[in-house]
Amino acid sequence: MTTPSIQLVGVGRRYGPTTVLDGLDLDLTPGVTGLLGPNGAGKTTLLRILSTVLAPSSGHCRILGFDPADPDQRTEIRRRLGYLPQESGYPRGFTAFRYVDYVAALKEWTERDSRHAEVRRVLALVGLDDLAAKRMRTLSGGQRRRAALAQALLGSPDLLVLDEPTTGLDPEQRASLRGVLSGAGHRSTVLLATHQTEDVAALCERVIVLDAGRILYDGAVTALVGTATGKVWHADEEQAAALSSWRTGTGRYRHVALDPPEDVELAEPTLEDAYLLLRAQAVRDRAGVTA
Amino acid sequence: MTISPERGWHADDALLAAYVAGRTRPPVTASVEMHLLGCATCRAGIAALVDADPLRGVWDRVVDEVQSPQPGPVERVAAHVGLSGRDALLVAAAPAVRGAWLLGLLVCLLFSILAATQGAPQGSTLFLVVAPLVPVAAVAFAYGQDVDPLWETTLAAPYSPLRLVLLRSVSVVAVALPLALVAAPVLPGPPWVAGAWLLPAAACCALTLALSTWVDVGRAALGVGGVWASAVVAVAGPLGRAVQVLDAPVLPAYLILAVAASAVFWLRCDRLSLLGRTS
Repeated sequence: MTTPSIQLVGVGRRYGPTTVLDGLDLDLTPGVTGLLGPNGAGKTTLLRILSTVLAPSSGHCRILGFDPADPDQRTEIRRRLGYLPQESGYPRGFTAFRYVDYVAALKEWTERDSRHAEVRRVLALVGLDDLAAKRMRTLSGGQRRRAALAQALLGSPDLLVLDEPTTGLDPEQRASLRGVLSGAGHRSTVLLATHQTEDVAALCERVIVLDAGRILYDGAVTALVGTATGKVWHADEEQAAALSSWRTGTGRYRHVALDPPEDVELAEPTLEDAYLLLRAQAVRDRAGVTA
Repeated sequence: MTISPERGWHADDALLAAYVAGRTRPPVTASVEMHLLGCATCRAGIAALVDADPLRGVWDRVVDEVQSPQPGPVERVAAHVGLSGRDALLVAAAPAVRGAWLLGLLVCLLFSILAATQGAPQGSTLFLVVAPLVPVAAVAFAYGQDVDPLWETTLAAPYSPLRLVLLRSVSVVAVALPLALVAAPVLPGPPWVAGAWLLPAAACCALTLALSTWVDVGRAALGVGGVWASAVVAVAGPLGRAVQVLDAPVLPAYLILAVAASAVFWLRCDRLSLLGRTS
């Protein structure tokens, strides 16, 4: 059995009276794990705790064998960590190279030549080697996001925590990025928070769905997709009772519902269908509890 | 040299090896170079004789020279006064050393000095309000989530936030302080005023640093600045005798405050390495 690289026991986080994470228990092992959830579910807070920039209000963490509550051990975690925050700014006037070089300097790459070689390596990994000398403000949103990802990849970290890495990327860039992340997942623990279910379906064996600070689902992507079997169907007419319904390019309607009607033409479910159903079931359960 | 029916001739391995080693005479060298331009066979032959590693090293240096930015003035000065290249790079990225911010700070200080030299009591009051707060403002714009767009990324790196905060604060104060020190002797009032204001300045800075382990550094600076400005104005009264804030009996209090706040900052500095200050 693989030793977990991350162990969370009863981890909670409050901001004033608001509970953002509510007693999470979680183990993560090497590989790429997807983190899904609606806005405000606590994804970014969880990633900040795992990247040691935020302390939990309650519970215990063990990250790469170290305790982030201890300052020295926290530094050891940071030596093995690559972190892409949700909003990654950059100082005015920085080129892509200087931006990544700056983070490399923070990551204890003291010797200039080896640091610059590493900067060139990660910029090439994300396809920005030709744009290294361009100022960040002149790059497109997708290119800036790739530069931000490049800094997270410095030093091939043991733990890669990525908050919405594919935001602003075009399909080719996303496909290229999947190659980079799947490669990283062979040797490291990669946790990827995103709203793009297709990225999770394409990259991850395991998915965690957060909702209102709690884990709604934690398991194999294929198993989650399997829960939607029999709940997605095609029809010629729009059906108001469906949870989600839209007209496809063929002119027919695709419906997703917790309680589909009988004798319908079932369709192959996707991770997005399963996610929508999971969320709808959670809302229904909460309403039932409240009633 | 070998003669080929279709291209006339090809350079043989011995000639190419001599050329690569730099052992050919100038006319032969020129001839080989001209030939290589038009002969793919010989180019392929010479590629096998050239050691790729030195070439790669040369190419890497060329790329590095093109891509890596030249150090800016702040970075060069920081390196010149003894900081390592890495520390100089990290200091130069501080928002507080950006030209516009620094210029604004210095202009503000200059105006307060000019006002003080006019001899009016309000001028001294203005100087004593502004001068000690210049280093406080410098600290406020040296680090933190509100002023540094890379702060969250910075915290996730192993570099000590304490070291970064101190390096940046000291660097910016070092830029702002000389102007105040040069101008201070021309101020009206007792001669010791010229240097005595450094004590409340040190106390305000240390208090800002200490408070920044509880709240954001900007709020800490605003709070400290507000209290200091109110105190100076209150002491000055209608007669504008602000210089009383530097009376001899008060000065040790600033020193004690500076030392105590520094101790608190030192004890709580681990909080700087986290977003929020609740741990």
